[in-house]
Amino acid sequence: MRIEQHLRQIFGFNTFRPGQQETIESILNGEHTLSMLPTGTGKSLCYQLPAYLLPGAVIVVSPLLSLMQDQVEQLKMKGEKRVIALNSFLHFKEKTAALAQLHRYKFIFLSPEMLQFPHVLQALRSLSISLFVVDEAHCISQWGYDFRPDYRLLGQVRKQLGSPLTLALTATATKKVRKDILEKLQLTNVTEWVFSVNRPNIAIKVEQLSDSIEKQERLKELVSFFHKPGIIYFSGRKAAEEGSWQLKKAGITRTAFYHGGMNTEERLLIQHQFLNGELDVVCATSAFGMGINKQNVRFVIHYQMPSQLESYLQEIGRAGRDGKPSIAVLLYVPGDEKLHEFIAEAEFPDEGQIRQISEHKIALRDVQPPLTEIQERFVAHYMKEAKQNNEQPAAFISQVRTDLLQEKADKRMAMKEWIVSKTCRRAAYMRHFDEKNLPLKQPQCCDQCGLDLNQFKNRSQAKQVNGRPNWRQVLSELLPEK
Amino acid sequence: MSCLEAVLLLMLKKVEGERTSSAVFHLLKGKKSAQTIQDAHLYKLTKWFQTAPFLTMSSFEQLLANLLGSSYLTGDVQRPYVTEKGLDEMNKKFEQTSVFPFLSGWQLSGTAPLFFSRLQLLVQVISHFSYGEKVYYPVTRDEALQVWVKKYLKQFSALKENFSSSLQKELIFVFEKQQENPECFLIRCSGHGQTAKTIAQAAEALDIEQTEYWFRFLHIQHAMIKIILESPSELPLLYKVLSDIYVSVPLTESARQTAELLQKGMTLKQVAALRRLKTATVEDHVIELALNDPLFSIRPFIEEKKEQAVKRVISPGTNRQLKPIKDQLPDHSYFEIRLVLAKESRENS
Repeated sequence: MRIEQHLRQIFGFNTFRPGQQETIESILNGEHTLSMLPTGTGKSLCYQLPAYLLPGAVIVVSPLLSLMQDQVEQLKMKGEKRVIALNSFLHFKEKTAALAQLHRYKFIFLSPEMLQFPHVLQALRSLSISLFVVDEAHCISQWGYDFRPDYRLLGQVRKQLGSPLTLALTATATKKVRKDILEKLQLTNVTEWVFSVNRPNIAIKVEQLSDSIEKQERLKELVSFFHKPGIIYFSGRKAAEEGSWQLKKAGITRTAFYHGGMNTEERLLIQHQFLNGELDVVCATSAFGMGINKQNVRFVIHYQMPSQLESYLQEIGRAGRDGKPSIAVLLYVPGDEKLHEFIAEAEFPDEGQIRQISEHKIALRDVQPPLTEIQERFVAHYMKEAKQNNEQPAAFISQVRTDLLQEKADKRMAMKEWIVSKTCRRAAYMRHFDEKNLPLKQPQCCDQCGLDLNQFKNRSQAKQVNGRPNWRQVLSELLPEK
Repeated sequence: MSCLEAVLLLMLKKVEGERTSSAVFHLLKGKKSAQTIQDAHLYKLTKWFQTAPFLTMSSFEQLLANLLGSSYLTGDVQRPYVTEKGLDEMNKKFEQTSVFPFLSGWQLSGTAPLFFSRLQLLVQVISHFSYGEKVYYPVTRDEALQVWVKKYLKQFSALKENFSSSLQKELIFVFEKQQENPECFLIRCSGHGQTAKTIAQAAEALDIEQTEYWFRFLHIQHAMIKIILESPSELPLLYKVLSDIYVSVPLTESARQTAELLQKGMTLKQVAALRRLKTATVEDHVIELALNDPLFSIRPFIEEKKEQAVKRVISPGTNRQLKPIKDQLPDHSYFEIRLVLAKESRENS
């Protein structure tokens, strides 16, 4: 019973969500655990709660800086002070100070790059580590959505830390990927909790349109019609800005855009405005959503198809965290998949760039045209791997590139097949994750099984955006007189 | 015409015929090179220094191309000249916005962003505290800022409940002494019942063009800083936000180090050797000192007679390119000529 008491006292919840209790209990029994819980069901609770029952520190490896910061912020808002994030954005001085004080922290968040530094590992080794958490564990697998080369070294790191009790968390991993996760982490005797990726409260609709003008019109129609708040995903920064502008022109004034090209402060503000209910709609790229804990998102629209079903599920999973009916709509114009072909190509260095590095020994920074950050990390990682395997670097890296591109092309195909298929959308995505049981019949399932859009209609009065009061009023509202 | 375009025309007009457009680009970006710092002073463009850090070379060239296309400029991207039509439009724009009299890029570009970030977080913390709200998203994740606010509040812990009203009064005092709509500032604050807007959102909400909002926002910050520095005793809370970040003589870090060594009595060559710099670089530092520090004497580097000779050649209104001056003064080094120009331009500003 004591874990339920903690749930109430620290986290203020009365009941667990599916999968949380099972995961927590198996950790407390000292079993290595891999948990696959559907997106939006509170994965972080699975390590946060045990942390309070275990004597030592909890190390959390997280792939994205912003995700890490969101989690740190959420813990701090719960009143937890013993939390720190170690990442490359810390200044040297701060890092040294933090490392010297590491024993004072209960939660230590790290990016995988940080674990490559000997002095960081050294500092971690001096701690008593109760739990080693790999968040978004699918990043470790080449076959997984959002593969991060640095994640592949986590198995080695884990050993160097004395093979502590380990929890791997993911929302989207096929059987193949799950097997890969365990292998790469060098884990045996693992308790696996695999829950259905199905989110019954999210209705699914795919709409095929003939061209982009029609799509634009349909977007305005849908967004005006739907109960808000909602998120619209676009495949690029420009498209997201343009979309938000179009919607505002159509009278949906409480709309903003969000993408990786904005600076940190601005992104944070949009996030806070959305969380505080000051925005109805965010037009975003995939950079938006991870780690954002908003319960009442009522719709997610994809203005372009995502590059794979895994991303699709992650993104629609941001709707309906409160368990209430929500809807996901994907707008598709034949040929939309082409865009992802270009995006995928651009993620990797081309043959010329690879040769400059491996044959002409040009420093990564001086390659022409210059490498993006992701490309640079890719090359650096596989140069090392080629050396370790005694492979000729150029050929080795080219081969990896070809394999990964093929993998992406396959995933793109699967996504497209899902879009054009004429069977139950829910059953189809569950099959993709090797689930044997079919979903129960439900009234608001998908456009194939039947679905009533009116259920998602906006019933409340549109919020009026009043002109701001004059500055004296604004100021005395912000800083009241006693 | 956007406000940024008007600023560009104003700056291009001052340097036309003598500098290429990239000199203006570096000025707006706030490049800390000797050339740019001297240009800022020589052409009396210091107020615009580092006031458009968001520019990139390509966005800058795009702006110039547009201005050329609308015949506000003539010539080419490298060496544009401002047309009559351009000047007319520019003046119209500035009639509407003013030429931002409080703006002081060179002096305050280093200070203003930190001042704003501190004040923004302070307002948020005090605001939520006054309403008894304990759980909220801090407007910044910068831990150094968060630590600063905690320390700051400790100093004023005696004020407690009255902090909010005191800060409100100080802000009203400051806002009333300057010309911009205080909303330019307040709309960027988070606190009870409102989340700060981004720059683009603020411009839209106030119904002004984005770069105009940007310059108004900078302007109100610079104005606030100057007012606070003038009245520290009336504004104890705000003064404390500012006092440890404001420096009265802005210098690049490298020039500051050189200044310290010179003050110990070292020669230019000794400084260069010790710091492993080229003599020319150390000379640049000396020019920077001459431009900025009113107490700095150029005498150790040039005799009185030679200084007078330069002054005779550079009668007001003459071209400020070095070559023609040097041609008339074959016995002077370029460094000596630049020194006198630097001193003159500080004394005239």
